[in-house]
Amino acid sequence: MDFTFTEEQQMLRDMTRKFMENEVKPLARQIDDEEKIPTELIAKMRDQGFFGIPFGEEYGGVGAGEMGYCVVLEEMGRGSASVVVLLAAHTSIGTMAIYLDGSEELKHKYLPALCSGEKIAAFALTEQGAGSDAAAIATTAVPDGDDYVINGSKLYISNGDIADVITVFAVTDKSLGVRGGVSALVVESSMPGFSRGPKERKMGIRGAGTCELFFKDVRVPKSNVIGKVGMGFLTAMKTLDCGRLSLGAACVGAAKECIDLCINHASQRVQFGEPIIKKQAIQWMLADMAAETFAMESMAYRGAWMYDQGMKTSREAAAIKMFCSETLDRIVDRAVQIHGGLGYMAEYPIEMFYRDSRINRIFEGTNEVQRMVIASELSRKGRY
Amino acid sequence: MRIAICLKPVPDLATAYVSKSRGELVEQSKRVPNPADENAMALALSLRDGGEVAVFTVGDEAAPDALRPLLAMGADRAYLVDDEQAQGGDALADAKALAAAIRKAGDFDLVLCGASSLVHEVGQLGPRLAEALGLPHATRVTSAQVSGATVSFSRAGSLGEGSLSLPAVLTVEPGCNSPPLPNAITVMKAARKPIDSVSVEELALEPDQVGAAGAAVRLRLTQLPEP
Amino acid sequence: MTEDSTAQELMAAYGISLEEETAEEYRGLLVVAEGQQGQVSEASLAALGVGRDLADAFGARLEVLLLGAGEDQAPGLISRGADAVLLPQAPAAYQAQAWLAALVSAVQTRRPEVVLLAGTDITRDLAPRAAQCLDTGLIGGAQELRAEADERLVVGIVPLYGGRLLGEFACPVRRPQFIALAEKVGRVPSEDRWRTGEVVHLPA
Repeated sequence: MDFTFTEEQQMLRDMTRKFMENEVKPLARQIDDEEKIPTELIAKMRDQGFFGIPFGEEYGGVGAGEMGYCVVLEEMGRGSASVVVLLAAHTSIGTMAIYLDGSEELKHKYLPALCSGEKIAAFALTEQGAGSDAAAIATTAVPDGDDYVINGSKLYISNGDIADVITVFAVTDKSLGVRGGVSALVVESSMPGFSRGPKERKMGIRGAGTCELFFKDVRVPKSNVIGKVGMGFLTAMKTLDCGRLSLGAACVGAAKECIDLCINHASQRVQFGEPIIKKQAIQWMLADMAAETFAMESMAYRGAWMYDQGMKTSREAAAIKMFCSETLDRIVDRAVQIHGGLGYMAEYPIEMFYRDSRINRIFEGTNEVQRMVIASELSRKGRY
Repeated sequence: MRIAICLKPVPDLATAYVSKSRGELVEQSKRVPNPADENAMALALSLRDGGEVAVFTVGDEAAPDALRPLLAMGADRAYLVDDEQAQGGDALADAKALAAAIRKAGDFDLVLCGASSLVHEVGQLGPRLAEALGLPHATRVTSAQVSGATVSFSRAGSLGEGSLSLPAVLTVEPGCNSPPLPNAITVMKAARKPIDSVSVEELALEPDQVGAAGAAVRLRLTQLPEP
Repeated sequence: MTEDSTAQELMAAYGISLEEETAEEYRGLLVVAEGQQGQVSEASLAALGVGRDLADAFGARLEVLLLGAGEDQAPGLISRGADAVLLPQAPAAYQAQAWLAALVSAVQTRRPEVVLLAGTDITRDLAPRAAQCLDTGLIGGAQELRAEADERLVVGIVPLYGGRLLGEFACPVRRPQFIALAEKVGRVPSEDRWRTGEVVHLPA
């Protein structure tokens, strides 16, 4: 097995690391305080080609695949979780749905502008009554002439505040339920009848915009259906699988950054006559964090590799999402403890990592849903 | 315009440290481009007007690490004199090797390199290269424009502005411009751009002209400065 | 001569050949002094001071090549340590080709074993090219020099990596040994009015 990163991946990593250190990290606190990612930063990210990493060059993407995308997310994860969510919601779910199941015509219509970052994407599945129970969505898309007319609302949509292109999941045939009754459609924010609610105030990832989306008689051409009518739920599951895969990589970046901050702090903080890094309690915490990070990193990149090889990765993606989100939570908790009082203070980034981490166990399918996915596959297969 | 850039791979000072016991620099990661050479690259990109930008360096198997970032910035190709006989040279020997490699690769309108290096504050390569190529030169250039067959430039220090007819050699002052950060697309493309190996024989140079054999100046030892 | 002639072509035009000579045939020091507004610069005088110490260590003669200033500067150079002041045919203001030709020509006719220059924008422009033309080495940015008289060698101590390390450089075989000092090295020597020396007008 060759576990080395290719030269391209290594260069992508170096480039993203530099960008993260120079452009993102210095703004991380401001992004959290102001609950906003500056448009100038988004413009710079655009110039760097960050919005099209995994997509094929024929659609204007960078062509780096899932592996290249995970490398970029890991490095970004060291700087700001809000920026990661902006990027990930756009790439691995918003745009990915069109990329995976859209017709060639639909892909050529939307992907170039999405890959360049000229337009930002969002993925709108969750509703007031449909969170983990995604099948319970109530937004409707009713055929009318050459169009579908969409009515309903979506809740807690990442990038909802700035997205230009939204993948919306709506019921096209209530009687068929999820097997044939749900479709995925591309809605443009400029279409009449579309509106957004105010940005939600959150515990963490405060710079990433999250809001309600409202659809009142929004007319969408039938050609904007992603894939076949009625196959939307399948598209949703496929896309979420992809999104879950890369979430692990972002967790790896955050974990590594926290460990580095902890080593730095513990080497300088003197208590009881010596730096606390000499104390076994601290050493054992760091050792656990490092071993766990190695496990996260190994999983995340193996999953990405499997995906790029064309292998089926639903169970692995669920395992990665579940394991990495829970492990990161333990790591950031220990990071706060190692920093003591300083870990609680807003003058230092550790408390931001702590608050930002919590959402990972909830969005992209709660970890309970991930366990359902893994269990159901185990039971279906009859063995590991 | 066809522009040649001469690159000096240097240690990554962000991770290297000075060993007190050995009085040496210990490198801990890949070699990087000399910062002034990146400024030279940025100048080349602003002047290229289509054309071609090629990077030349004398180095060993560590050299491509320093070449790829320049390819990612926008150079089209690179030439690496990696022949063992060419290694370990000083400025005298390297100028001969690079001049021969540049001549072999065709006619260039401009040859650029850094005015100084991270290793050695004072740059010698540019004027030496100009002499070896039989071209006029100017040092410590901070900005330049090309009009027809003339390049006009500003320089750091007391020499001020000037102009030369092309082809010419310019050395570029470190920090005088902002080298573009590679973006994701150029990074992917860079990995596919050619790095051609060049041997001393192909350059029609005698072995005693290049590398350690052709060096006039030797570094006898390194030591820590007095505190 | 066109703008694009190399120093080599100029040498050929002046009828000066660049055949290899052995180290034994090079003797004495040549210090390059630059004039600013007709006065020898302080940096050049400091280089002269450093050169005089080296010359005394070698028991050698020291000549100063004066560029950018006139014969009126010669007495000040002699009183500060020059055994001879060489006046080339070169323009008073810096012109790359002409000053290069003057320096190379002076080395060829006077055959010094060491050429010492102050660290200025002009010498950074001039010295490496002259050294390449003469197929010899240049130790640049030296903050300290050490004479190894037995070997007739000058060892230059040069800061590396922004001063994190010091390197000791030498040019053991080829001649002359070109040395360019770092900025602000050495002090202007005091004058000794009893010293005598020659003034030599170099041919065009």
